[in-house]
Order: sequence, then structure tokens, then C-alpha cells
Amino acid sequence: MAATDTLTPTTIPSSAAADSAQPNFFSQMFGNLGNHHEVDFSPIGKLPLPYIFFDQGSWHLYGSTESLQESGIYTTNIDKQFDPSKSIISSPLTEKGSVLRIDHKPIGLDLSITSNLFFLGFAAVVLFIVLRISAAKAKKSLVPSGLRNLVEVLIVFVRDDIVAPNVAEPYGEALLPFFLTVFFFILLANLTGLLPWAHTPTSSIEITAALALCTFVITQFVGLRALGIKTFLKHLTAGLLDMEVSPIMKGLLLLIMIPIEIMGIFTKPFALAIRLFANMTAGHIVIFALIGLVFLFHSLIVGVFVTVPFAVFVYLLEIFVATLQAYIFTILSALFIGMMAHSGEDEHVHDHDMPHPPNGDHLTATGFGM
Amino acid sequence: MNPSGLAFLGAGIGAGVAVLGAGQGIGKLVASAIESQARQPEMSGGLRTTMIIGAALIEGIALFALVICIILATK
Repeated sequence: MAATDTLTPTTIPSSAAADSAQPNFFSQMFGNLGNHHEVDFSPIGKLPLPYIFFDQGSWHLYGSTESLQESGIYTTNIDKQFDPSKSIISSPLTEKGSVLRIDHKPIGLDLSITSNLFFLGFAAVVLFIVLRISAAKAKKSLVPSGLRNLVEVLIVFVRDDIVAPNVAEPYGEALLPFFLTVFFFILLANLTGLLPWAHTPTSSIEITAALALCTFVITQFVGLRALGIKTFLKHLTAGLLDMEVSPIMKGLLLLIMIPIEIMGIFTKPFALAIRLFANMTAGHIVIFALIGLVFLFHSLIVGVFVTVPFAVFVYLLEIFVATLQAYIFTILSALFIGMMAHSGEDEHVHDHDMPHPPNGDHLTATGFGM
Repeated sequence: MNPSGLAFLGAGIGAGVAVLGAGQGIGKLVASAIESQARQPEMSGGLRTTMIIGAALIEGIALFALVICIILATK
């Protein structure tokens, strides 16, 4: 690899070993995207976040990574490079930052406060304060103004443009708090990631998967409640039982359609989770890559003329994407729940001023599925 | 060719091809949305909503590929 050594900057160790876990400049940078046990206010200092374990019947609490490593029970590979002679961590592919017991038993319950939880709490506190102020102002006068006006615009937008056209009446009103919670939670969590020194909670697949799981549970619950178990199972056949084809064709088509429909039940929330996660992570990766260009070329000209304009542009795009993804998650949840909440008479989702199609064609009703 | 280099190569090519498909799909979508809005300006609001939902769904699929490329590139 002698010819390429002139191109690689001196800070990157030359990849002589064919090991994919080799420390790499970009993977060190992208390590910033993950979950950490400390909040890193870079020039000012670090705020260590506690490790809380409930392990083998007793609670353990450590204030910071250093006290964890001195405890004698646990060890972690956050700060050390992998060194097989000194560390109990047996494989270079052990995730950076994972905590292990020295006696190799699995850890029971990990309730540590990580940066995900810290910034989720931050978003929750901000939301609570904003909504409390708006509610207090709402009691005083009928005319909205200021912060209360903004909150009211958003709430009315969710109620009139997202929930009401899509979710049928008794379920629309009952589930409005859920949609409002999802919308504001995702909006604030996405926007938190754009503040300085902050980490986006929704850029971790765990949190987006939890949100999609909530949507999934509510979808199935509303479906079972609104339709009854018989019609609910009929949905799995996607209306094939009503078509006029020969019984052999029906049997063959059912054999194919039922597994596809069952998979469709699970892929829709899965797509919701991955869409939100990937949108949030992709923006940060692009910004990191642009900043990394400066370090890669060791040049300030690149920094001024390429990095700063593009990074500002991508940053503004990320603000737009953050808001849009909150809207998309909410409206797709409303669509999925609305598809279940109609009591089976007409499954099209359409604008109210468009004419109904002559015969409800059940095959196209599932067209919104992935 | 060491596997690490092949993984990076795969990640780069994969991300590029995914963006090709998404760009073409969203381009067609927005083209037909604009045409429909020109034909019937009073339907503009509903068309805009449908266009945004369609664009988000198409981008979701492209981001599946992006997630795989990220996993390839960082592990």
C-alpha cells in the first residue's frame, strides 16, 4: 500500500490489517452519533452521566466512567484502545462503550442514564414548560397571542388536517391525545438534536422502534375493537373472498395473499421506525462528512469555501426534515389507524370533495401499505 | 482486496444507486403533482398533502438502503 500512503493523512493508521474494526477517522467521528454515558460540552467540560445497574439482586450506581472502571466489578472499553493482553474484552468487535462484568456474567438490568435519556428528558421538560405557559395564557383570554398562538396553531393543525380526515369519528376524538403526543414528541426530539452539543434522541433505532411499537399496538387494538375479530381476519384476505373467480384460483391467491398481508401488518410500523431513524441520522452524517473533509485535506481553503456553505445548507435542510418527519410519522400513523377504524364499509382514504368510486375495489384499499 | 476495502466500496456504490432510484421516483411524483395542480388549481391543497406523503414513503425506501450502507461502512 505504499503508493496510497501519500494520500492518507498522517492521523489515520494505515490499514495494513484487514480488520474492519480498525479505528478509522470517520468511524471515530461517527462515534459521536451514538449513545454515550456522558454529555460532552467540548471546550467547557464533560458532564458524566450515572450508570445504574440492577444486577444479581442488588443495585449499583456509578457516577462516571472512571468510577465504574475502578469498581472492580465492571469494566468498559470506552477510553481504551483494544489491547488483548490487558483487557478482559475478548474481541475487537465489542461495541465501543459497552460495559462488561469482570467475571463475564451477563448484566441484569441496565437503567443507566445515557445521553439519549438525558436529551429526551430535556425535550420533555421544554415541552412541559411551553404547554403549561400556553394553558395558563389560555385561561386568561379568548384571543390567542404569542406562544399560545403558536401552540394552538400546531394543535389545530394536527386535529383538523391529520386526525379528522383520516380517523373515523369515535376513535378520532379518543386518540387525539396520542397523535398530539407523537407529533410534539417527535418534533421536539428531532429539533433538540440541532442545538449545540446536543444529541438527537430519535437518531437511535431503539427510540423510534418504541414509537412505532406504540402505533402498532394501537392499530391492532383499534382494529379489533372497531371491526370485530371476524372482519379483522377478513382484512387479511384483502377482499379476495368477494371476488368472482373460480375456487381453485381463489385458493391459490389466498395462499399467496395471506402471508403477504400478515407481513404487511408488521412492515408498516417497521418502515415508520426506520424512516424516522434514517432521516435523522443521515443529516448528521452528511454534516460530519463535510466537517471531516477539512481534516482530511488539512486545508483551511476547503473549510471556508466548501464546508461552511454546504454545512449551513444541510443544517437548514435538517430543520425542515425534522419538522417534516414529525408530520409524516403522525399522518402515517393516522392513516394506518384510520384504515382499521372504518367499520369495513368503504376502505378508501380520500378527500371529502372527491367523488366515491363506483364499486369499492378492495384490492386497491391496501395500496397504502408498503 | 481486503474485505474492509470491499465493504467501503459496496457502501459507496450502494448509497449512490439508492439515491438514483429515489430521485427518479420522487421526480415523477412531483411532476405529476405539478401537472395536476395546473389542471385543477382548487385541488392544490389536497394534492400537496398527497405529494408530501408519497415523497416521504419513497424516501423511506431509499433510506433502508442507506442504513445498510452505513452498517457496511462503519462495521
